[in-house]
Amino acid sequence: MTDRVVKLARLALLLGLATVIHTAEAFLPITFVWFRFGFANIIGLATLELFGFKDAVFITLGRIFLGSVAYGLFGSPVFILSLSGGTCAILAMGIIYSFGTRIFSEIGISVTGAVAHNMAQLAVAYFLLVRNEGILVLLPVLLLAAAATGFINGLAARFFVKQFRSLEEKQIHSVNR
Amino acid sequence: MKSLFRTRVGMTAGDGILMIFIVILSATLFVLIPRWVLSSGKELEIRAGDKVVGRYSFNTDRLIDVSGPLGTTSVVIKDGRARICSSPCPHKICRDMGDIGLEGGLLVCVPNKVIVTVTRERSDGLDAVTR
Repeated sequence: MTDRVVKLARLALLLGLATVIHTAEAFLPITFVWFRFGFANIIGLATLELFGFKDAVFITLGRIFLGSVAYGLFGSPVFILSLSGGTCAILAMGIIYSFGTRIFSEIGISVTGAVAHNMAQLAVAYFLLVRNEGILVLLPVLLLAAAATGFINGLAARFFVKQFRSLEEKQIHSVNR
Repeated sequence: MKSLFRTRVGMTAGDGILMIFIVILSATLFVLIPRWVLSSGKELEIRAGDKVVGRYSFNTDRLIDVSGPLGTTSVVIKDGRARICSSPCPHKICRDMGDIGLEGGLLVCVPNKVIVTVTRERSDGLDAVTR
């Protein structure tokens, strides 16, 4: 029973953290950052490692819904883009993660997620919004951006998971004592 | 906090291969995609209001009926030239605009909101031609 309560509390914290990061990132000035770093995906990836695929999907979808409500773009094209990107990213990361972290570490998983995110967004932007082959010119740029941001986020997720686990261990020790 | 700094900043072989693959892929696409996007053959594009009714090749002769708010505007493609051959508008300006071909151009029927253009992709290395 307590295990489940602890898990619920931790998932709620992760969801809150992911939502805040997701929302805060939307306020970055677009003149400097014309692509999104996807820092919120750090939490998604950490959840995937700590709690498994199902909860990671829940956290990702939750932060997209809550985040878009927070900055008032729920149901807009921006929301559709971030929903499609987030869903594809978490699905791709779940698949890659199922191969085990021996082959792909957090960095590889995160890069895969970022690439899936950007490709899904580009596909949705092409089929739903722009309908002009011109935006496909962005594809290589987006791929490179995904590799770079994915690398950074992967490292961050590794630190996050490591820290989370060590805190968890400390807690267990103090409880046992 | 110490444990944080002791975390290994290493990549597995899979990560490295993935990163290299993505960089090579994007470098290849950098070269290929602009070429592919810009070299698609020029076609006739017909719009009714905001939406594209269709794109048609100049090579096949055909008659295209486009419906607008006033009725049906007919665009005819013959011998690689396109012109508006009939329209329900009052002044028939569009019908008198002549024809356009691969060199580009514009036929518009303002009352019936029909726009006929040539897709702007060019394969001859020019960005645009003004006339």
